[in-house]
Amino acid sequence: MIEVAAIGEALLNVLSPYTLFFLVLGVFIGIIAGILPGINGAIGISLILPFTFGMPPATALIMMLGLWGGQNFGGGVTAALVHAPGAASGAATLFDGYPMAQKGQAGKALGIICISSAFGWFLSTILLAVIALPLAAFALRFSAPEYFAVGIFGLSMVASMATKNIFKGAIATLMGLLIVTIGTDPFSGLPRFTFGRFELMDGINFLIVMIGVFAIAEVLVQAQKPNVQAKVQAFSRELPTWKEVRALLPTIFRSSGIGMLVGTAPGAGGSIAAFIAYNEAKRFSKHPEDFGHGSQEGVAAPEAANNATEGGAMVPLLALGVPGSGAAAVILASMILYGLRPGPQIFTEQPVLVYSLFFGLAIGAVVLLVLGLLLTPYLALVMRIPKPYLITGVTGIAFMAAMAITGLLFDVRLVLFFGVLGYVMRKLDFPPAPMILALVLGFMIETSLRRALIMSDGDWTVFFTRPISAVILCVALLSFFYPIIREVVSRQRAKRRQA
Amino acid sequence: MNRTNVLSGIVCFAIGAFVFWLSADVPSFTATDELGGRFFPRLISVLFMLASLGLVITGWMNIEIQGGQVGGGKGKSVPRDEDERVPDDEPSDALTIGGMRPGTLRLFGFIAVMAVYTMILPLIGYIPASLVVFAALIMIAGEYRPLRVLLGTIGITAVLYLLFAAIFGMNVPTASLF
Repeated sequence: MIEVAAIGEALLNVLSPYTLFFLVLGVFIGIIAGILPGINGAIGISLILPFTFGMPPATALIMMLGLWGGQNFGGGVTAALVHAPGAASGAATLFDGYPMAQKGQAGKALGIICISSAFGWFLSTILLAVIALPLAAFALRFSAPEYFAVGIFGLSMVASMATKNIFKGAIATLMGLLIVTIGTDPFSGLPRFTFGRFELMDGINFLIVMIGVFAIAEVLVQAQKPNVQAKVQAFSRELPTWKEVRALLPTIFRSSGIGMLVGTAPGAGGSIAAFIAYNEAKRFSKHPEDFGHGSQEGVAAPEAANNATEGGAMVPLLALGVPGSGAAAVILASMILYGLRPGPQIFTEQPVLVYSLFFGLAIGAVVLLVLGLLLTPYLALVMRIPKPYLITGVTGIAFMAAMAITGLLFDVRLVLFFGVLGYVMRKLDFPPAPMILALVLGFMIETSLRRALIMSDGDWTVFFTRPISAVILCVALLSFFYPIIREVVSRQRAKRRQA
Repeated sequence: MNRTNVLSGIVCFAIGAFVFWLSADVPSFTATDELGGRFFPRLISVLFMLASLGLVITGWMNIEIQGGQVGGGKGKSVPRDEDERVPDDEPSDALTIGGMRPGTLRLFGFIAVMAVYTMILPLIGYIPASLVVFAALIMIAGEYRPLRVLLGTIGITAVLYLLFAAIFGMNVPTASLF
C-alpha cells in the first residue's frame, strides 16, 4: 500500500515555498487563536476555511492542521500567564504553568510548553503514519452496514463522553441529525423541510452552523460578561536549559503516548488527554509534591498530551472518515468540500494527499518549535487587545466567513440564528460539539442505513449478522447506556448501604 | 427538582413532536428505496422525544447522569474555553435599565445590532454597514471614548475588507439602495 513515488511527490509538495508559507501562517494564526480566550481550534479552522477555497486541497488542509497544533500551544501560554486557559486543551497546564510564571520563570514555562507541544505533535504524527495505514487497509472491507455502524459508534462516544448530562449530549447529537435531514433527499431527490425556500434545497451548510454555534455564540457569551481585561504578569525571557529539557523527555514521551491513544477515541479531546497525562506524570514523578507549585513535569505532561491528540484524532478521520473532535470535524468537512472522500479509499485514491498531510503535520511540529520559541517574548502582548475590539473583530470575521461560503445573505442570517441557538445551548449546558459531529456524520449514517437496507431487501438483521458491524454497534450501544447503568447500580448500592 | 432540565426537556420534546408531525409531508417510499425520505427524520424525532423525556424525568428526580467511558470513571466535562473567573454578569445590585442587568442588555444589544447588520448589508453595502455596526458593537461592549471607537471601527473594517475582498478577491455585498 505504501507508494514510494507518492511519498517523494508529497515531500516535494510540502517543502514547496507556497505550502510552507501557509503552514507557517496556519501555525501563527493558531498560536494567536489559542492565546485569545474563547477562540478554539474548531472556531479558528471554520473561520479560515472559506478563504482557502482557491488553494490546492493539500495546502489548505496542512494550513488547518498547522492552526490546530498552534492553537493547542497557544492555550497553554494563556494558562501560564494569566491563570486562565485560552483554549480548553490548556486547562491542565495552569496548575503548574501559572505558579512557574509567578516565581519569575514565565520564559521557562513557555519554553517547556512549546518544546513539549512540538514533541507531542511530532511523535503523534509518527504513530499516525504507523497506525492509519493498516487500519485503512482493514477498513477497505467495510460496506454500507459497517459505515452505518461506524457513524453510530462515533456519535455514541461523543454524546456519552463530552457532556455533564448524557441526555443533553444525546439531544444535541439528535438535533444535529435533524438539521442534516433539511434539504433534498439524497435518494429520491425530493425536498424535505425546505418550506419552499430555494436556499434550503442544498441543505444547511454545516460550516454555517459551526460559525454560529461556536464563534457567534462565544461573542455573545463574552459580550454579556463585564469588560475586564486580563492582567498579564511581567515575565523573564529565560528559556529552559538543555539539561532541564532532557530530564523532561520521559514525561513528554509517556504523555504523548497517552495523548495519541486518547485522541483516537471520538469525543475525547485534548483537555481530557491533558488531565490524564497530568495525573500520570504526578504518579510517575520522583517529586510529586512539587505538582501544583510550579513543577516542570506538570507543565510538560499536559502540553505534550494535548498536542499528541491531533495525530490521534487524524487516525479515525483518515482511516474511517470519522472525526474525533470538533476541530477534526471541520477538517473532515473541509475534505468533503474539496471533493475528497475521507475514509479508507483515500489511501488508494489520493496517496499523495495523505502523505502530504503526514509530512505537513511533522514539519508543522518543527515550525511550532521554532515559531513558538521565537515569539515567546511577544506572546503576552496579544492578551492586551481590549475585549470590545476583539469581539467586534471576531464578529466581523464570522460574518465575512459566512458570506464567503455561499454568498447568500440567507446564510448570513442563519449564522446569527445558530449563534443565538449556540448561546442558549451553552447557558443550558447542552454541548455543541456532538451536534457538529452529527452534522458531519449524519449524511453518511442516513445514506449507509438506507443503502444497507436496499442491499438486504429490507432485512434489518443485516447490521447484526455481519460481524464487524455487529461488534461496532454493540460497543456503540454499550458506550451510550453504560453511564445510565452505572448511575442506577451506584444508587442501588448506596441504598443498600443505607439500609 | 432541576427546573432548567425539566423545562428544556419539555421544549425539546415539543420540538421533536413538531418535526414528527412536519415529516408527514415527506414522501414515505419509492420503488427502489423501501424506507423513503420520511423514515430517517421520523426515527430521529422519536429518539429526540425519548431523550427529552429522559431529561424531564431525571430533571424531575434531580439526577444528572454524567457521560463516561466503559471501564473508566465518570466522564470529565470539557472545561469551557472562556475565563471562568470573569462573572457572567455585573453584580445583581449593579445599575439596571428596565429591570435588566447590564450584561443582559449588552447581550440583547449585540443580537439586535447583528440582526440589523444582516438587513442593511444588501441595502447600503459592506463598508458603510460595517462602519455603523462595528462602531455600535464596540460601544455596547464597553468602549465609549469617541476617538478610540472611530479608530477601532475604521481599523477593523479596513483590515477585513483589504484582507478578504482585496487580497482574497471575495465578493462582498454592494449597495442596492443608492
